[in-house]
Amino acid sequence: MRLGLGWRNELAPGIVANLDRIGVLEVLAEELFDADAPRRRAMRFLAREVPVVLHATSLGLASTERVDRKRLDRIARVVDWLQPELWSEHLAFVRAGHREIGHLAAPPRNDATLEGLVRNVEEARRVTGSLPLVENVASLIEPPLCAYDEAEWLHAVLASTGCRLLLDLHNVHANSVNFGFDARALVASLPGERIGMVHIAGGRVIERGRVLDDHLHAVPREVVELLALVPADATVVLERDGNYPNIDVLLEELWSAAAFAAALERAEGAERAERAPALPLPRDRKAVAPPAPLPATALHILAELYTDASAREAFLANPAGPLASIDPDDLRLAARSFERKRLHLVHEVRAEGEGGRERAGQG
Amino acid sequence: MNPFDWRGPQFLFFYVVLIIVVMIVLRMARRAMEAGEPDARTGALTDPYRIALLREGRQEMVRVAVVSLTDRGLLTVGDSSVQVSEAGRTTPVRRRLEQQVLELCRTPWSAAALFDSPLFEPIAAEYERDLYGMQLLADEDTLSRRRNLARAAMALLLLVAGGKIFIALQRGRTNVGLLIFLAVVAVAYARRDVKDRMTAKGDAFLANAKNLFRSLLSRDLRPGGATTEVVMLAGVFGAASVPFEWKKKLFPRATASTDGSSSSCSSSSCGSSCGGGCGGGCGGCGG
Repeated sequence: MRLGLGWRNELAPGIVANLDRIGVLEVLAEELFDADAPRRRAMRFLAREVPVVLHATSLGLASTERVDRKRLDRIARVVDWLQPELWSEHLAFVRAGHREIGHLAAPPRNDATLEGLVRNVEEARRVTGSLPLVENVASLIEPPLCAYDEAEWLHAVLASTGCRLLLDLHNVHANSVNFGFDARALVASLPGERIGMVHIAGGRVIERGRVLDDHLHAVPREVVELLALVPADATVVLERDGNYPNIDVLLEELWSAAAFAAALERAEGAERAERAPALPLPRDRKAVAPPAPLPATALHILAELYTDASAREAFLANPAGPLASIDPDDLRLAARSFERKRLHLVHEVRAEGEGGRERAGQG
Repeated sequence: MNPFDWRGPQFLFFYVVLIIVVMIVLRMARRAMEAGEPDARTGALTDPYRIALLREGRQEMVRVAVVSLTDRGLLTVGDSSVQVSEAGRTTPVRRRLEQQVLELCRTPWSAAALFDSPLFEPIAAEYERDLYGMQLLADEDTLSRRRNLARAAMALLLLVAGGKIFIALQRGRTNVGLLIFLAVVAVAYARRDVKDRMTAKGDAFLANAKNLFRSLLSRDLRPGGATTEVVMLAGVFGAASVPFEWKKKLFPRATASTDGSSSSCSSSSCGSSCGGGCGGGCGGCGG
């Protein structure tokens, strides 16, 4: 496996001092939007010292709405000057109806979203010159209006877009706990040759037994076990967004996870050889597709419920329409999580404005 | 329009402009010769001692090693001496430079004498070979090319100045002192430029390193060698940039100069792309 870390300003000195021990660096695209010329030179220099991949968080590709062209242009500019090995974005929506959610929201997994995703990915390819890897996201709420389960969705995305997958194993783990599916079966069902990269990270259990993918904790055992199921030559990046340990601890965590996964993979070689064949591509979509409303409108309503407390409580007092089946507690939980993320971003921007520490990575 | 026919002040103005243009062309030519994309995967960023040597030379390399070993508790710094601690006698260290410092400091040394010691020259020479190989330090070939460029520039400036002086003297004017002074200053500047230790590629390397490590300048560093942050801070920004009290004993002059200035060596003063280095004040962008 090729092992690497997410580039964060807090970790930067430790990473640079240990470049000879790191196989790849993942840099956040949004962090480089406003990079000045010396910063660009430094990052280009870094990209010659170690392979660099670019990770975007703000496009919202998995949406019935068109991707924000300005953000796409900015990512294209970063791709252009940094010349990363590849770039990636999430299978998420981040805005709808001009309303910013502030973080990555799991989209309704249905044909309308898939259509939007295909269109947005094509637009991204046209503007940046290359297809992004697309990353599965974690969620505290089962998105409404889903026609596909998580595994079917990932297969449908791979089949429809031509993109390779950035497989986030902690997101798979979190969703498997949150919504009760077999994470191992999902990972084992994915075609190995379409897994372009792997993320590992740690989160924590919050209220209602949900797993929050906060990137603040050590990689849990369940994720390491999933790592044993991905191709042995995969590129694996450890994501950490705060509560930073010593760089040596972080590197040790990464190597231990890879070594343990390799040992596990050897031990389970037979099982791997006999692993379930890839899932058949999406079942008859029309048969399971939910009825109206217009998907775009549904996304607007969902974004409003995630971000507007009064609209949310009014809706929950009298749930009606296609989102009526949404779980009220899950909705409140997800909305709080999005709110915290927005507040965190505001805090970072203020700190930046006051000459404080540089903005930490997100996503 | 013949400049040689211009009157004194007009010609002096022309000559100053000529000097500036020649110096800019000289600098651009040097940059074009010495710059170029950095080599891939040099590993040059990972060794703070090599960076220190590149930045300020052999003494600085030793200063950074002493800072790192002191931070890790392997050396103790007294009022007038540096010597190995109990832990330093028994703790194995990886790098040859550190081994040598610990070995020497089994007997007390004054900090200044230790930094000046010729005993570190073989290790420094090894590092320098690496830096020459990476074209970050100017080797003899580079210096020779610089000298040729500088000679051409000096010849042009001296020719113009000489021609004007000749014409002036022929016309019975002797007020050529200022012109001679300008020519001498220009020649001295061009000669000085030849002697820069670093290549343009080395300047760029150091600027990039400072940019990549810049968050160290605004961070609360954990002493005790728990991380590589202290030694990287010292290596990239200067041995005297570490925020610990004991540095005053190691670098009394540098500390006095930074303490005495109105702004300390913080991110705002030294952390820009070109940085500066705090090992005795915040310098310029180098090169």
